[in-house]
Amino acid sequence: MLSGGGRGGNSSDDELMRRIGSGDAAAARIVVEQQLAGLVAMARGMLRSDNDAEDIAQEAFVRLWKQAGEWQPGRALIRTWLRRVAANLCIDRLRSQRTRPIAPEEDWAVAARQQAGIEERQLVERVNAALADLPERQRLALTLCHYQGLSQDEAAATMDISIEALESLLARARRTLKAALATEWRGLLPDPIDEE
Amino acid sequence: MDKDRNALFERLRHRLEVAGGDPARWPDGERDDLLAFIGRDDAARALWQEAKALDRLLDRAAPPAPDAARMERLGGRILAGFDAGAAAQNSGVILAFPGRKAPFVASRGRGLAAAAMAASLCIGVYLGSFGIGGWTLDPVETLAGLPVDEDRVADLGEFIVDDDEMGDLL
Repeated sequence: MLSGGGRGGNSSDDELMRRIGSGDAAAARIVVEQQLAGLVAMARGMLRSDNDAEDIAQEAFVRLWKQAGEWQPGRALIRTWLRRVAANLCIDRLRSQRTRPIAPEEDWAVAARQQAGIEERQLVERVNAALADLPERQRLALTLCHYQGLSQDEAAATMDISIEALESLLARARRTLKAALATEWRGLLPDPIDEE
Repeated sequence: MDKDRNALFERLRHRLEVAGGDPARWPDGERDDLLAFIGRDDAARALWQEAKALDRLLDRAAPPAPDAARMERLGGRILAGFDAGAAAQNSGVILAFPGRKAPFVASRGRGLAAAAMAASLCIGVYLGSFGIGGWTLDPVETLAGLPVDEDRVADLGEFIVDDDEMGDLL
């Protein structure tokens, strides 16, 4: 069932989906070019893994292709629909990872750490650990708003929740992170002398 | 006065917890009031600095930009999946015969699905007329005249069914 939760559609999106439902490969290419980067960025932010993020993105598009024939015009943006599917897949993946051993880190995380100094590496590890400890929906809300820069309207539509519910998730996430990383963020406060 | 100040402080705290320390991310209707408050209140300014420090910390853990070549390959795989699906839908090709490893090669046209169903019906009627007890059933492939050896894909050529031949089966 494809719907945007009442967030409104877009005539060009509806036309693209109509064409995709008819097997139009050019329309599919347009959607991939428009949406893939943002989708992968969101999944990478959630999962911290290129391989997992690509799996999620690919699965989200597969589902879009399969459902194109049932697209309801005016009900959703393709971007919102894809992000919502990917977000749910990310949450499922994170929940399943809680019950199995953590896979070896991806090359980009290892390489990034190798380039940075030891202190920076340890700092990033502590931040990533604190993010990983957040409940999945708080992590998703923070990923969408802070890392992806989505507006609250867009983020709420992606998660299919109210603005108030989104704000609650964000506030709880930041409170938790502020407490867990107190030593780290205090080290980033400006020197009082610099403010004079 | 204190009551107003406390209420404004709590509004600021809520906004910082929800949106972080970047005023560009605050609602238009609140931004100017909150910035003015920060400008005149030490505690408000300290709270704002803490929020910005947390933002900077989170930014340190932002994933690096993805590899462009890798993204291109991913896009290619996704579109290949679309093309394969669309092609299968348009050609009526059965991409896999149940229980077989090799694909069943058939000509284009929608007749193949109907031919398979008709063959299955004939086989089912044939089997049903003899009952089940005491019989060892041969693999469906042999009954349908298809080779059991799944590696012998070349032999499938003799079983290509054209639309024109469909009439003989129905």
